[in-house]
Amino acid sequence: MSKSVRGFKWLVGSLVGVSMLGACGAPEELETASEQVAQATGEVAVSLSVSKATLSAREDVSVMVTLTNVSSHPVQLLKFYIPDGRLKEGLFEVTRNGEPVEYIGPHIKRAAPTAQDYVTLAPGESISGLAPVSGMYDLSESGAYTVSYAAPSLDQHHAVITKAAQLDSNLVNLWIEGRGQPELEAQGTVSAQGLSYSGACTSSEQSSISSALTSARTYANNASTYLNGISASTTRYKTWFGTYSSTNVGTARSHFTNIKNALANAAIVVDCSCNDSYYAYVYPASPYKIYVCNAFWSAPTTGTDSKAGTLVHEMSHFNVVAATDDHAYGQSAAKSLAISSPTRALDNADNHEYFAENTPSLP
Amino acid sequence: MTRGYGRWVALCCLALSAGACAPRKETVDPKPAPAPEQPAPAAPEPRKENPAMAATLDCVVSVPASVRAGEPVPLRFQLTNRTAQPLYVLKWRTPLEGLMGKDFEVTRDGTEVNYLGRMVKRGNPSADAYVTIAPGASVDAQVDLSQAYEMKQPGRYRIAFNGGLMDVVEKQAEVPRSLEQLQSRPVSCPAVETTISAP
Repeated sequence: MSKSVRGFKWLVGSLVGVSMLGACGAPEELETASEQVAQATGEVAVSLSVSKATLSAREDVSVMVTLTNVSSHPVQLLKFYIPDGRLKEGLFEVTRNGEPVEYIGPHIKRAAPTAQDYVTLAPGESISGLAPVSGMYDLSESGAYTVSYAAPSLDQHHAVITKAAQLDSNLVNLWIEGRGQPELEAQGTVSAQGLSYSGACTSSEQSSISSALTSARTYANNASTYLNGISASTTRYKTWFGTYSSTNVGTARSHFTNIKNALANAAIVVDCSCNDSYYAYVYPASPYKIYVCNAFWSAPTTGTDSKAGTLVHEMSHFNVVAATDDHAYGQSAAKSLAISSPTRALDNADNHEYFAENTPSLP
Repeated sequence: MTRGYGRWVALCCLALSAGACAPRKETVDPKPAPAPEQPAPAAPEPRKENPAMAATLDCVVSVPASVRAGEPVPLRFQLTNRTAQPLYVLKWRTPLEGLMGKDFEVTRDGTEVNYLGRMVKRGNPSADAYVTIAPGASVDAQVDLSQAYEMKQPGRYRIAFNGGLMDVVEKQAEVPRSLEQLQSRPVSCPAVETTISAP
């Protein structure tokens, strides 16, 4: 669902079900609170609503979640699970024709929460926002879906919300037309430039990404041309990929040929929903979707650890491109890796990024 | 600290962690359960027994001996500080931060399985990216490997921790270090195996 509808469509949506949550009074009470889930007294009401009950394969599926403090005292909620439009975790339990639907989104295990991980809701206060369903759950088959509120699975510290919410059945019923997996779906919505957006990128974010992609293409083209033009070690090659050999330079050439081609031709989707301190992340098995995060927005367009370099870095991760890993982060560690293990340097995304950024410029 | 006291502390912690909902917590567990037969480096005097840098942190990975296909594959990762001073360990690329990269090489009957999780480009770490491990204490975390690796096929799986620790700091004042100052440290976590059976 696009950003423009956020905040208003829920008004016309059908408000379905209300469940009571036991909220954590304070971080230190969390562990004991989870023990008492069964008799959670309900300080926060959760309601789910949708603006449309029937969704075609082309439409994103989101559910408006409203959390209201119905108690007479302030309560604290873990902010990871408050939908703010940038939420990137699944909040729901989803079924299709009565069968549980697989969660396919990111799985995040967090450290025990600290005080700053909570937001306080005053008595009577509500927070609401859209939380994504498509891209997070397997909606590949058409059918009658139900969505109920439940924070993600397995031993997490916020079990108090999960279990309490599951006690009540606040369901939204939807008919959803089956759609491809996220990467296939992305190819269907590709723009003429081979770039499309998801996760509510603003227009200024889109223009910033588009400029970064143009520079990333230049970086990759230049890197590829450079590598094809050398027949012996150079300072630039040796700095980032270590000892020169025909085998190793062959690997570097093939990586940059693939990076260049993917940046030029692939149906790239850049997702703006991440709100973490990272630069960006990808799922290497799911080309060509790149999630950009907070550090990306503060990075320069070009230069060391730039937006353009980040796109080269992320593109190198995809299994169908160069299948790189993150063995080391940062220029200093990347240079050390080139010395200690050229093989690992050729398998490290940052080495590719720094080779492409070539800042400061090396001969 | 006598052996008897050490056992008492370990027992106490087991009891505590059984009821906890936090995904990981520091435990005063000088002897991780899977290694009772190793020559026990008693917590109080580790410096004499383990002078080598690489031996200052012990790593233990454990998985159930068998799992039914389609069910979660819980992996427990534990680091124990064998030195006499607190250590500040960057959680990156270990299960201490969840599965945020290909932290393990997973093979099924000898063939590497596909990693389906994410890979993340990061800037400078913040202080909360570090975990403090008191002398003799352990930190642990559990992740569900099946969330990030293709593990639905029945077979014999081998799971090996890929990396080292990206930064280990001995002086609290130096936490967090910048990306350019990180000092990685190897850590040896013996590989483990599990059998995934048909559902």
